[in-house]
Amino acid sequence: MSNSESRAPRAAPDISHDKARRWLLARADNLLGSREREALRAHLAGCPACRAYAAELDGLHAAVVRTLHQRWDSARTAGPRGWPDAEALAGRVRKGAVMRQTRSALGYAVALLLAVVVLAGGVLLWDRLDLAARLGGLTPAESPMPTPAGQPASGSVILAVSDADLRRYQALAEQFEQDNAGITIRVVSTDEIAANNPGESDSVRRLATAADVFPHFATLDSGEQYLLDLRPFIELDARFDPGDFMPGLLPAAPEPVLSLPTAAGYQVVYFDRAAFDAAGLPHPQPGWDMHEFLRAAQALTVRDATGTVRWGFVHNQLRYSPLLAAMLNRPLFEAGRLRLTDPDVAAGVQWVSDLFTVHQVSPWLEAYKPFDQQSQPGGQAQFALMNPGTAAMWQRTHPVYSFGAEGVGVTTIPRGPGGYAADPIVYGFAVSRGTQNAEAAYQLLRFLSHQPPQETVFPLLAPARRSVAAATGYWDSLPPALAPAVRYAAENSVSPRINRLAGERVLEAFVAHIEAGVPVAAALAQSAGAATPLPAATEVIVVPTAPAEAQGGAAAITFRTQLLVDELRVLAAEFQRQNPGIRVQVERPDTMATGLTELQRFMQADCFVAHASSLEDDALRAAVLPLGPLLELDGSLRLEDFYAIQLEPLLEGGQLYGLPAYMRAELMKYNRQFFAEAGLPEPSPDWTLDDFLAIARHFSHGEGDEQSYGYVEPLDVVFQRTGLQAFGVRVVDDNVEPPTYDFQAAAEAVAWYADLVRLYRVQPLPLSTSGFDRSADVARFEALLRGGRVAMWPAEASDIVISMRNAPLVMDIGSVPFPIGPSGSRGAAMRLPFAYFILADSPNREACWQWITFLAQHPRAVPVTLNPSLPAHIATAESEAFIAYAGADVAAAAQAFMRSPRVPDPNAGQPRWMSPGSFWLLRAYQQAAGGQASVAQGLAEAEAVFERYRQCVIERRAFDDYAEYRLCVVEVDPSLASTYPP
Amino acid sequence: METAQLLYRVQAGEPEAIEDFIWAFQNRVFRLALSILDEPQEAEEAAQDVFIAALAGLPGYRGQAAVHTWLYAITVNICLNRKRRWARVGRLLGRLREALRGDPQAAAGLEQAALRHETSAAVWTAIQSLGERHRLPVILRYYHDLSVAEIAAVLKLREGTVHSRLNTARRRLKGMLADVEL
Repeated sequence: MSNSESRAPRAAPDISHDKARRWLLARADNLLGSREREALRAHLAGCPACRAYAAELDGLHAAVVRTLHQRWDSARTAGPRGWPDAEALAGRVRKGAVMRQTRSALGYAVALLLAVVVLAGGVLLWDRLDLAARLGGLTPAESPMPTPAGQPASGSVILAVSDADLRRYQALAEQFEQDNAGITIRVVSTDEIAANNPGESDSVRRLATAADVFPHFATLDSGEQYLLDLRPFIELDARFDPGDFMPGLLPAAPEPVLSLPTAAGYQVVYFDRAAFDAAGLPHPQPGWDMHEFLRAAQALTVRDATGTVRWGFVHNQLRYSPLLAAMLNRPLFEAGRLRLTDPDVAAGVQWVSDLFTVHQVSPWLEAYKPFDQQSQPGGQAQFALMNPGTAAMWQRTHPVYSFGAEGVGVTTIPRGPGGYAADPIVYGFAVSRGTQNAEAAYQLLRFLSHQPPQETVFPLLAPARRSVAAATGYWDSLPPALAPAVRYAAENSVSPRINRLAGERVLEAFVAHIEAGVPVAAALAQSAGAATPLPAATEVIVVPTAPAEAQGGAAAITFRTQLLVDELRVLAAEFQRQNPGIRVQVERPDTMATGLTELQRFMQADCFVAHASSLEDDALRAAVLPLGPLLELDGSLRLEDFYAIQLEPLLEGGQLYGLPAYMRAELMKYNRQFFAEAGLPEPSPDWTLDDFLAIARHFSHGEGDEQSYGYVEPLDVVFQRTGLQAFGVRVVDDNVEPPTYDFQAAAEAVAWYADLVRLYRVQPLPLSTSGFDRSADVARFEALLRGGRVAMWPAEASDIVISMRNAPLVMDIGSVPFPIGPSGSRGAAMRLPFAYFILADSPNREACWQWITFLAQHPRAVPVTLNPSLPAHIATAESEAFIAYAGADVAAAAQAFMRSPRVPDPNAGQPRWMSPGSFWLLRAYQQAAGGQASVAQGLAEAEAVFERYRQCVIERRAFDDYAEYRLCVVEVDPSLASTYPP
Repeated sequence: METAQLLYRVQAGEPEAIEDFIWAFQNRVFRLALSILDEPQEAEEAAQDVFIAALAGLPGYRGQAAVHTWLYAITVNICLNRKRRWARVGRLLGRLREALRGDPQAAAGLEQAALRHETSAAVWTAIQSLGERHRLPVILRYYHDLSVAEIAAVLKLREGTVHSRLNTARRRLKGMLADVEL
């Protein structure tokens, strides 16, 4: 479509819908010539359907641009230290060829070694352990799961690993299965489980409700309450040798063992050999101490008139500072207590802080502060400094080593007063507290701990077991510059001294002391006061055994949903606890499958949740199960239990095709300050259009920059969405034969909405008149809204603003349903309910029914972000649990919305040939609002056009023949030619 | 300084010119690498590889494409090779990398900030679930604001193919986001 000027049509307005849509896509890629743009503009002016399509495209474009910028724009710090300076980079570029050769040779050697080990591993390293026989039916005290007495471990275990490692772990799983008859392993992707809502922090809970065994960082991960304590298993496992693990990797008794380590990354100090040589200092050796460290850092820090040009030492981060760990006598957390106020902690924090403030050998960077306190969040400026030239020493973990031997040496974190301690990163596997096969899971875990690390992205990761390191020749495989330091660290580590919770608090103390000058003891006391206890294990979770392995006659169903996947997985665990005979697998529709319609992607499951409008798809309606018989049989639910507004779209021909799920309410928002200052009562849910107008007029005053508006609707949808319904307009006049379009019936509605702009000026004139690009109106709305100059607005308008800017509104906001019109209705033609559907050919229809009736009555099975949805089940929507979940104010407004009487569609009973009438009616409204014509003139013109059209249809007898009545449309209104394509 | 003049100096072997060359293009190369690899540290390393490759290949550069397009093409190749080498590095592995490389909490925070809202999260998930052949054109078009012709040059595709992939991507995104109010 590029260079398309020459191919552009000469008659601008006459293009088809299909072409208009193709051109809209081309426009999105700047591929339209000027004539095409003109023709498209003309088409859009007269085609609401294509305008809606254009608005959808624009909305998608804006959302994608916004999301990508939100994700990546803050990942980079500006300024001189935000990026390795060009000189250093140029140096590295010049050395690039050497570095690459080194890396690839090393990578090849390690890969070859690992391949050999993986092939041989099971035979060499694994002795089958019949733990269950020895356990003798003991159930670990912490385990909520029953343990079969005196039987070999059996059953199925779900192992979750990263996508990148699936293949390798699959091979290990098969090997394990061969050695352990009776246990089947299903390997699934952690990315599928934990990455669907990456913004959430409870990935451990999600993993623990979807898999029995999954990766875990011993001290860094949260979610301890979802993990099984393995200590009882270990203590009863006569063949378990704690001494085979490198020191410090297994928690010391009686601390719980929440994961079995497979690998470790050790903290080390990288140093610039040349800097030490030039200063006449010996290269630091593994096991050096804090005094030697400080002397070197001071001697190697170089300053000139412009400031520091080389830092003595650059910290990686301060949350889990290995220097602080080295200064502590023992772990910061003991028996559930954080000992922040003990003397060794204060001394350690003081010592590390002095590196920044007193000795000034380390740069204090924004990147060290808690994320929400950084002026440019996400900065990683410390890494830019970790090079010879900009730092003499820096701290990182050993597996990121990527230097040639020539310039950078490696040594240990210096010893503190109590000896060597530098918290290793301990990586391993945990078992879900909700596992139903604890013994089998433990056996798998033990097997995995005997394998070399499979995470080959980091080939230098150290095996957690001595036996694995020996069998794989790990120590000999390390680069010579790295090996002594890593070996020293591995042989001398103690259990990590700073865990996640302690790290958070210590970091707060660092920031308070270094930035605000709060004395260390006071800063630590302040942090100690803010500490929250670890969450108690109150939530009961269950790992749903995968459908393929459902046992004991259990029904296994798959359920597909686009929204709330993680929430519903949690609810599935709750459901299964109540219904042990049913296993539910919650999935997203398979968006990667090709050749399927969107609905077909849902229909691959036993049951699913989708828009009620899906029933308009003939294939879907034919495929779903009519639910009337199940409803009758069940007896616990009646149709009257659901809001009619959500139920009606699912009823057809006396059949119920879906169970109502939830629906988003059409709400209006208001700035409470307007009402408080004016002493006016806030709108009540039963307010009318007259009430609305009186309030809006009251708040519309001022001029210029001081002008306030009673109501601003930047998207111009009120008329189309709620206008005609609120006035109870029925446009089909069938008192004559053939029927005609009753434009005068809409006169009151058209006039009322046009007057909001023209007469009362309660809302400003739209800036955009084309209807599809409303960005200028949205921008103006946002400025007015945030400036406190808008009293009332549709909820969806502020939702857009909040999402777009990623910034909440700083004001007290109330919610109320739209006002009731003269018809007694608020109008809600455009809001579509969601419903649960069951596939008629599913072998698990009854199980699906139980699941969806559980969901329909669960207060948390609905999305409530921003403009919330309301459960269709009335008692659930009005339950205290839901009100607490959604918020009382919003829940009350949404309930009032749902209870509003629903008046018939304005176009009900309209034969298809009459449809052009709606275009002419909309045009009359637009002209009146824009001041180009009076309401009467606009409607009279519409009426005249329609009557000419009607006569044409009568003459051609075109009532049921689209091709014929289309000719009439074009004859009386050529601008609709493309809206009614041949 | 004119880009052509700068390249001439680099090709002539002037040492300072390499720094100037990196200064001139590092930001764009980094951003592109970041948008493909989605991790700053990774992107930095990839960017260095890009400059190594670019400078190595500079003698063969005959101005057949704009310099930034040529660099973009190298960046895409290097980043995709990195991704292929590591297979699909997943989230947990990403956590492993964060734990070993830096501050895992900061990484989580970054993600949370970017995905604070349901809408953004849904859009990001949808973009992520596009295959590479569709995701890359979307990123180049919507984040780097490249024209279809430029994307075609970078990805070595025909312009029609780029437009078609963008359309497919938009259709899939629309489908995946049908239930999300954008």
